[in-house]
Amino acid sequence: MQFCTQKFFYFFALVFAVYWALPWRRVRVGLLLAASFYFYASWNKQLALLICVSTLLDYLLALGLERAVVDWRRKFLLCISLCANLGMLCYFKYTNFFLASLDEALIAAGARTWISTLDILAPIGISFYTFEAINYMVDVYRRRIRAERNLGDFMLFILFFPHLIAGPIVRARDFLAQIKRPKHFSWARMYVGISYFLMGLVKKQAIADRMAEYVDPVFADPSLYRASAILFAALAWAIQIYCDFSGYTDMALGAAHMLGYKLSRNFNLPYLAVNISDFWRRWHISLSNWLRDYLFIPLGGSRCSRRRAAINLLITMTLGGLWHGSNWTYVFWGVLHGTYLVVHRYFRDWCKARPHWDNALQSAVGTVLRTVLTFLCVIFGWIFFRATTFDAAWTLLRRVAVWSSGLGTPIPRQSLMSILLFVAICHIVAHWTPWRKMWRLPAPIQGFGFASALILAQVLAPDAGKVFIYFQF
Amino acid sequence: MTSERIPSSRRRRLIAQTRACALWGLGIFLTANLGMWIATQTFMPHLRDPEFGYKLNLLKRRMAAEPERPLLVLLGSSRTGQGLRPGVMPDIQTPDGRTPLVFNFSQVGSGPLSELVALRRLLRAGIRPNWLAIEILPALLGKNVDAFSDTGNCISRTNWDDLQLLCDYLPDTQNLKSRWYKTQLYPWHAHRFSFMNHYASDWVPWRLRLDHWKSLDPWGWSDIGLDSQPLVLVPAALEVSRMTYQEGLRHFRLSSVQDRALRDLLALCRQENIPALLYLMPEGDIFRSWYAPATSAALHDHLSRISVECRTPVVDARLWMQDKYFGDSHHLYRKGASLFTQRFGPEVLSRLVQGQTAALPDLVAPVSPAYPQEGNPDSPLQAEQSSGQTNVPMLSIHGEKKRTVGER
Repeated sequence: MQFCTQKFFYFFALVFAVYWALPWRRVRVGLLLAASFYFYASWNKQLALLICVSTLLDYLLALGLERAVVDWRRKFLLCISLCANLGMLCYFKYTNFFLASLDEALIAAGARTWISTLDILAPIGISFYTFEAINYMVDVYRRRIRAERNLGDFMLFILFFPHLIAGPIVRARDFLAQIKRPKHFSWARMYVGISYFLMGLVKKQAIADRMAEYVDPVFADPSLYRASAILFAALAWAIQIYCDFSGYTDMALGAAHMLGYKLSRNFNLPYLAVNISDFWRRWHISLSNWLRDYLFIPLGGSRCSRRRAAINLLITMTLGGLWHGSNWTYVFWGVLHGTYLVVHRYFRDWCKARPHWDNALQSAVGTVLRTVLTFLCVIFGWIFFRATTFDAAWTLLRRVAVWSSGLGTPIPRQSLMSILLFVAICHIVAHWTPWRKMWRLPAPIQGFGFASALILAQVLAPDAGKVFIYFQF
Repeated sequence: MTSERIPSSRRRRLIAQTRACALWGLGIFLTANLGMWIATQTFMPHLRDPEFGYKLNLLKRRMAAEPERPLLVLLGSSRTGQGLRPGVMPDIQTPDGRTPLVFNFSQVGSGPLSELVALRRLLRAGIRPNWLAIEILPALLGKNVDAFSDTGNCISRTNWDDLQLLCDYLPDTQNLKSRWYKTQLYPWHAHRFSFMNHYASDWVPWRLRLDHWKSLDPWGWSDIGLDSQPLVLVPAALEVSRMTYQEGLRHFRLSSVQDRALRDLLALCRQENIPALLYLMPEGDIFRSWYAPATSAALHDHLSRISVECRTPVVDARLWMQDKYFGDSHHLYRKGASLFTQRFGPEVLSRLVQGQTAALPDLVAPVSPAYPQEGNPDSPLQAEQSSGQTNVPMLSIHGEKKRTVGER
């Protein structure tokens, strides 16, 4: 059940109506739990049960962890939890990847192998809820939060349907407190929720899925297309992945707001980032923060030698790349971004020692140049993220480098250009105009905006609903 | 959204403002949907059913420009849409000396059920043809669902009256109605491709392009913009035809839905006093090779029965054109369409308008050459006539078998 389907609309309308009609907090939590279970079970019932079992295990381990006073026992319980969570993640997501890679390596070494991949169906959203469970367990271990006593509340923290499939990755200390807070229907929240949801709907249906028409055929067989079509496809892919993922997040935020919950912001105009470090503060913020708090800092962070900090960055980003998918292209993408970050750190330090350079880069022209360069670096990385194999990625890059001839864009460029312009204008407006100013517009104008967004999303919707890209992660 | 912290007067204003926004939004959205629904059901039929809508508007314009001319309408599938070109047809005349307005009102994928819907729509729109020529697409006689009545994809093309009609024929009426009601709830979504094709066709992916009927000629003929090409250049098109039709022609079973629809269509013609004839469009050698012998026999039996029981002539023109005139062995190129029309008009349609329909099935003459001679493309019959050969139409009710006078 995707957010942008009629089925979800009916589902959400029912949940929303019953939720606010119920006066009791506990019953509301129960309703949300049942709805979340149904939401997930609509994909796969067995895997929905699996999440419940793993959540129950974390709940019990966290209670044990809090009661344990001996250090080794606390570490032991944390290890069990981490092994269980990461073990499941590795089994479902990476078993076939490692088996296939081993097979290829053995064949490359001249050995005969009989390794075959397993028939494994990965639970949708496993990467997200595993990270949520880990952050809860680690925070309980570090005594930053108390273990949740109420099983229903804890299960809702993991299973809450708006963030269950593709985040944002919520923190236990933020979300569990919200569950316990009494909730009253608020028109202001409704307004915010509807705004977010509609914005997400337009991003997904009117932009991302439309961009896919330029991207999918070119990445499926790049050897057929001319260099300009490949460049347009790369640009369209950058827009598609941003609008697809941030569209999903906006809809998740909107749905949560309408039910009285506030999820953390996941995007902040990432393509306006002035450097790669800034990009990661704006792109998939909840993942970046998670990687920083639970991987980079425990590895030593940057409070160590420059070399060690660089290695920490590379490890963090490589694992971040692997988190996205079980393919070497994702690993390469992670390494590439790790390298970008390391190079940026060295360059930043180099500039600090040369104030005239620093001043030039901080000027308006310098800022524009840095933004464009960052965007180009990100697009270069996206090519490896989207290509299914290195061969495909090299083909794309080679055809651009030698400016090959071939087919043009799969559909005329008018819609691509119009959408690029639209996205650019939206970025500028969002960058310069605070939301509060929009809020002050007369109600009919705002209402017209809502209705137009909904109709636009309906009119530009594709013929067959496309799954959100981040669902596969 | 920390409404608890703000003063109560401002909070009240905030609530009033947000509520007003939501209600305005809902109101405008509902009004826009209602407006779209009314537009598609009434004065903008081309947004609901683009092909029908464009042709209806075109026909109305033609009739308004030449109100004195009687109307001969061709109903059929894309074969007729691309293969019959009234604009190049030599003038045919009624017994009282008038020249009818011949209009190609075919629609892609039409079988008898879709043709029945189309005729009813025309009658509802106040257009009563004086004559009807109805194409039979043999492969669709074996399918319960043709393109127009496909409940999955085309239900949004229908209006309430069409739905009532379809419910009389199609088995799963509950599903049909439920899908129809859904499309009425979201008219912007249901008609989005028609809308986009009409106003921003460059935004529509090629596979969803439905704008080719924007290029209809004034007589309703669809110009696909291609002239005769060797078949080898279009293997993909041929493969699509094979995938679509071969299986059905190998294992043909007459659909009771289409059989009933065809009989009702002819009954409606009789009731409205509209003389009609049935015809089969030309097919290439490859396409005809896909008919199993049993299919040919079944088809022959069925059409014979229809012809006798409904007292309607059936003209089998499947052998009339050579392979080189087809793109995919059953859709004629521009040149093939001109050649075929220049023969079909005088030999078949003129008899229809002259009131000789009852005689058509019995008009069996020495077999004319299966294929017209290729001479001057603008006047393909000239070569035959100048060579002294009598161009007698091959009019029969049978399929592959050709009868001669001697046989009779």
